[in-house]
Amino acid sequence: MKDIFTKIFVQNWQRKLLSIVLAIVIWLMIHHSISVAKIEVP
Amino acid sequence: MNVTVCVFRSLLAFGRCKRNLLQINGFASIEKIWYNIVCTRGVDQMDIVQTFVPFIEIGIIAIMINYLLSFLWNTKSMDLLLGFFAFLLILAISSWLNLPVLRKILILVGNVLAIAVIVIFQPELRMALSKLSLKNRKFREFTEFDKWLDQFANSIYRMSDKRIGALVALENEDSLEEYAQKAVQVKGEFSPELLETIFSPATPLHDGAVILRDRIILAAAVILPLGEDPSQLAKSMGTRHRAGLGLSHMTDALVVVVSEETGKVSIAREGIMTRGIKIDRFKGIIRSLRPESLSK
Repeated sequence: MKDIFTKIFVQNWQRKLLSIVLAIVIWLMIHHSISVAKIEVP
Repeated sequence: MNVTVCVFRSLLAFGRCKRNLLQINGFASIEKIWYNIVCTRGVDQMDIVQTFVPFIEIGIIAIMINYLLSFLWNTKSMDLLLGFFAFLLILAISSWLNLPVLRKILILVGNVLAIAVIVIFQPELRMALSKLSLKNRKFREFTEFDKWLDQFANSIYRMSDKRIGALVALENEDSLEEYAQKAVQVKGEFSPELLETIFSPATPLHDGAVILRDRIILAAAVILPLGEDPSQLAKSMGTRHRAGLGLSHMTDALVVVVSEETGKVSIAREGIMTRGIKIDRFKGIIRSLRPESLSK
């Protein structure tokens, strides 16, 4: 159990943190573009 | 709970002041999600699922990025990639702060940059996509193991033809570290030339066993415990066979013995020795009983 936790969260944590930050940025950008499209259509 | 609601209401008031910005902003939906979590009572199941959709999406995107980054992490390409991410971050900030000209410029540059990134990272992307296929991965592992097995078997049977005595222990789950520690440390990538050089009678390392771990020659001139099972030991068997049998009795290692007198190849496993094996059967036995370390 501890090994799985370490593997998921601790190993290469810098890479994982960067991945999460980028994922949030990308999600916000795409979501924003979708919202803009929704407003512009009507 | 009351404090939370107050904080949320103040946030809402702030949101109303900036309604125009929030309406075209991605964060407007986050506010809605927060409202769903904190203030709505009796939220039906659909709303709860909808609330978690962004987190699930972000999680999946993060896993995909992490997978792609695993090919570039700690390489020279990483600096270039960080520059690309910085560019992406500026683009996101320009969208968030509603800076249309900067955003337009970045999008125009980004279109060219996307093609440049594909060209620059073409080898890494190809590797990432090829590794995505499970079928290809299994096939590649199989051929790698097969290549090693061919080299190993040919090397063993070349020594058998020349009547050069050899003793090779293939480590399995039981560690052979205690035997390796007392011997000469080699820690070299397996090659037929290296194995045959070790067992060449003129060299100081030829007397003793070789331990193989994960296709690496861990140690040479290893002294192994001697087996004493009379049912498995013929009169013609020397110390080498006894040592091979002894180790296979005590551990789950697969031991290959080449007789110096007769040139016959034997395999010992779990205290049982099979003698006079031909090359095809030898490959078949190793393939079917291959130790875990060789499958990696």
